[in-house]
Amino acid sequence: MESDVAPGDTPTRRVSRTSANDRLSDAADATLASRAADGDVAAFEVLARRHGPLMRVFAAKLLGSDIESDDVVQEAFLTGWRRLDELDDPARVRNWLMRIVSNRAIDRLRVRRVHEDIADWDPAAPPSQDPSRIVETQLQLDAVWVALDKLPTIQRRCWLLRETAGFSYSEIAEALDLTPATVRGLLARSRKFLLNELEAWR
Amino acid sequence: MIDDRALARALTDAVLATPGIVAVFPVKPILHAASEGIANALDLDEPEVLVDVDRSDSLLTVTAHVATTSDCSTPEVLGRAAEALRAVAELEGVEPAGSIVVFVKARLIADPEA
Amino acid sequence: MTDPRDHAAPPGDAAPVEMIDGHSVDELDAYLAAGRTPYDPAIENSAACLLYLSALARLRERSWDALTHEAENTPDRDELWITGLLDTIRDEVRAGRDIPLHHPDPAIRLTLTEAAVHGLIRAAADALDGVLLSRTVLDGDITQPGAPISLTLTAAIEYGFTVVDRAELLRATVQSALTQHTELAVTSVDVIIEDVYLGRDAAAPGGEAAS
Repeated sequence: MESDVAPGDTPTRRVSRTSANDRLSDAADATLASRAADGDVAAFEVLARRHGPLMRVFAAKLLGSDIESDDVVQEAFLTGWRRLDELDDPARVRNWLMRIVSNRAIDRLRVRRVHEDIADWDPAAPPSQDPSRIVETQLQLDAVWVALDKLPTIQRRCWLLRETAGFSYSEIAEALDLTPATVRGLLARSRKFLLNELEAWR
Repeated sequence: MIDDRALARALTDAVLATPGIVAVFPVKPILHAASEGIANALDLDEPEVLVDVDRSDSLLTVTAHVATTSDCSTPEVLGRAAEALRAVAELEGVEPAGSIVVFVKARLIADPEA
Repeated sequence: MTDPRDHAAPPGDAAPVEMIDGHSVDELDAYLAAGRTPYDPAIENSAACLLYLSALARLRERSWDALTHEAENTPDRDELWITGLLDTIRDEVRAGRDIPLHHPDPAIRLTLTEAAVHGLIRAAADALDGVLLSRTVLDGDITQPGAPISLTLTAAIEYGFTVVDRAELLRATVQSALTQHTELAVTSVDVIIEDVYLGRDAAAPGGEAAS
């Protein structure tokens, strides 16, 4: 094999020589998604590590269950891997995965609706109790969770699907078996409530 | 003549002994190739019989899926592996008038350091 | 007042439409979600609307920040599902098409999977400094011996390297790997440089001073 740096091939500026592993870890989502679509497991691993934690927290909030969220996220990434050739814009891989996570979580909610009494779906996931969270910079973030947890479950789900996963009203309606008008009403209520709690809006 | 299971085992040994072959993947199930790194490929819980042997009438079909190392020419390595497989099959497994077809497929060309 | 969680909003009980300076909050929400385009002067010139929009934008940002922050604070739970995921997908790598290799004996059939060739190209590219390969496209009927194949490589170049040098080095390295390991009749290798990235040293604070 020829050497990777031939004589005379020295770059004109200082060489930083970022290793192949570091290059992949630092790579843009679009690059990673393109490589993954070509079968690169290592690139997909970087995507899973980069975005998995957020997806898991999101799924936990949507489901109201910390335990199921791991399964949902794992299933969603597996689905994502299998459907990478359907991803039109690799730069938007995070949104695309977020949608798959949402859909997976919704599937679970549907199953629960069949098996459980509608009256007590689930309590909201409690905020983490890690003491390190309770420091001043956390207060604002905690306030968000406190406010979200005060919302009725159905409103919280609508809000998360709309604001975090970018679902349209009709997509939320379909996902949660509601009419678009109901979704509109629920979102209006949750928006008003959250604005009031967090932004002191009226 | 030995039975097909023993033959498959002997064939697996032969292909693994071929210079430039760094791993053998089970042929069945088909989707069982590792794409990244030999260590992972070998981590599969290893059934010792990886090369597939199939008989119909007097035709013996031998199929092997392998990983080669990128510091040797893959076509040459596959050719040597196929010839080694056929030599073992002729010696051990085929009836005098029978014929043999050998399929060898590279599913991974691995970095020698990996 | 009861805990709001206890009373799920009945569908018929829609909240009265809240208006801000002649615009419904729904309309303002949709306007914000659309990235404030197309530009609506009636909204953009209303102080009340702008206040509402900024409160809503802040709210969105805060709920997003809360998610990312919580995600960052629980990293150690990931190893398990990621390991499980990787074990599964490693077994699911699509082999792709079979690429034939010539052997003089017709009773010997040699092939290479498309996935193996993609992996070969990535490994060759990753061995180079200053280049990060993204997409690899093999165009042509790779299942037919001798069919003309054109290869397109899309890559990013590390800041500080000369684009033309890297592109040429990538092209030559990949071509040589293909010549060594395949019998594809590669008639052209196009390299598209679509991005520049900062290397680790350059990205670090005071990177220029680091050795």
